[in-house]
Amino acid sequence: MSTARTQRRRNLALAWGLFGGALMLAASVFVWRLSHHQTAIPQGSAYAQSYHPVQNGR
Amino acid sequence: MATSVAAHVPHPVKRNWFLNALTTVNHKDIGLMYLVNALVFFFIGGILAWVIRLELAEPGLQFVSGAVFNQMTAMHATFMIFFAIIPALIGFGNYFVPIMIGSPDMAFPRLNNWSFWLMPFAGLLMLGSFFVPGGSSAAGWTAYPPLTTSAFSPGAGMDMWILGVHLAGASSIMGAINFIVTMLNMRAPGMSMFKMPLFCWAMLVTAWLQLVATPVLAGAVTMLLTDRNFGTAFFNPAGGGDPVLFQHIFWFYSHPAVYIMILPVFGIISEVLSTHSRKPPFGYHSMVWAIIAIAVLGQMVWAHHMYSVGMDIAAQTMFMAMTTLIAVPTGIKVFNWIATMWGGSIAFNAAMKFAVGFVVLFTIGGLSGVVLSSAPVDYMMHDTYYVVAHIHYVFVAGSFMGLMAGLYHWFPKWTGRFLSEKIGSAHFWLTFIGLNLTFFPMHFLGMMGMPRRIADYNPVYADLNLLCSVGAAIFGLAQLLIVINVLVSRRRGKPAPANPWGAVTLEWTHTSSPPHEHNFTKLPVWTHDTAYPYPGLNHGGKH
Repeated sequence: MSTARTQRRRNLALAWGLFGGALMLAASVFVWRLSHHQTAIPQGSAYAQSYHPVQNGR
Repeated sequence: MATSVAAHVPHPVKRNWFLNALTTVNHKDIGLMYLVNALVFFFIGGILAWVIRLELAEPGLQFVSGAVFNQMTAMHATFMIFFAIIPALIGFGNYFVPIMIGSPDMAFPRLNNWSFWLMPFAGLLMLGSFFVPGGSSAAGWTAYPPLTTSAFSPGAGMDMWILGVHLAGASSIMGAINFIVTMLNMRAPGMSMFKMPLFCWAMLVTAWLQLVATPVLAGAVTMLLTDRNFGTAFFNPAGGGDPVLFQHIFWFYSHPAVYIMILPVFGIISEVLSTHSRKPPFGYHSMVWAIIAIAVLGQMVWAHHMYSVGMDIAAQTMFMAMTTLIAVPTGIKVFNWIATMWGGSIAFNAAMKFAVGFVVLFTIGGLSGVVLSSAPVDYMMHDTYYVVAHIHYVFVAGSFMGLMAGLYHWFPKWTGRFLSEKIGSAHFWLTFIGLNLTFFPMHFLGMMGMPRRIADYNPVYADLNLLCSVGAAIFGLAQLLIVINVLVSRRRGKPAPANPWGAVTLEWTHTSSPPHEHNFTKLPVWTHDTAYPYPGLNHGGKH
């Protein structure tokens, strides 16, 4: 039977491993997005204008 | 036999309740705090639902404007999903998982406290968004861009929604890590994985889903936040972005989220049906593998929410096939629940009524899901009230009824007193009638073509909408009964012994009611060869 200290170490190792996995999953979304960049739609159309950061005061 | 029997009288430490709530690291306190938090948000979400049903009782705009109505639908779903159903299930898990596996607490008690306290603040952030200029998010709980971009949702309410989801997500991820580590590393000696009760298996698989899916949602809403505030173009076609990508990422989280809200309930139902039938759950191993199969398949079907965005046929066919396949493990569970009751010595008390009600009504929700899994059918049904009916049969007839079954089942363990069976029976029947009256007609409204998330509608839908609204009034008022029952019974209910139902899992056999601070006088050793060692019904763990 493992001692309390060994168990604590095992718990922490597993928790950090899981946390690392979660971080990688969150990062993977950005990697996926950056690898699937598309051509911008023509500027000047009403649709493109609706997204313009300056027009929206941002 | 397991080695120790707890005969402890609890020794509560007298402290200021608020200070205790803020600093407690005891999993039972934290579990109950999750449940109280869930109850508060159930009622907030319920009030928003009543506003929706009041407005829809008749055609035309009577009580709220279209803009306010949109806020109601978005925030009703947000509160119910993120702040009521999920925390309620985590509350049950927090209280019972450590005890059921023979552990004195969760693996990381301080992290557990932190996970909880993020939740009410996230909820308050969401609530606060009603009071900022422009009001709260009005773009549905799905928060699709371009509707949620700064051009179309310019107020701070949308940003507060995103930050609230971030906080709730962080809470979920920390909680999931805690559950996984606890169940993998802290089981009692002798309790192998396939000797864990089914509720623990359900919580383990749920924690896994939370861990895998929530970070992806966090990524998506972070992108949305930067698109709104820092001029990025993740979902903005003007800068090369793609709004449909948000839908993919959102549903990569949110379809598993449906299973996060139902798998623990499957576990609760297995415990309740087994205990009150005085039999081990039928097909323990197939039940475990069915939970795992549902979770695995559930992660591969997200795009069935998006058939109408213009996906190619091959992708639609694949998502359709995978979705239909989920009916197989789900069917295994439903048939096993029926077989569990078959030949059992059934006590038809309130817990059992809610559990049987769950099996019947959840099956309706599951079947309408199979209907919607078909892409050609979904083209017609998408964004109609048929979808609203389906999801409410899963969450209300499913998750909510299951939560109530668990509440009536485990309340004696929490408090040492029974809930009133008379009130419980009235509560069940009014809930059963109310929810069917509310949600069943929505199937017909959907097939007639009534779109969801609209404040006004064609008068042809009027009669059925009125019926739904009457049902909602009955359902909502019926829930006051459980509040009264809890408040009265916790002080004046019939006293309950440590194991009033004759159950065989550790929370009943080895703890007092309520359990003392560290659960067991001496940590138990599991010496049985099965998870449910009913005398005379032991099949060597292979039942």
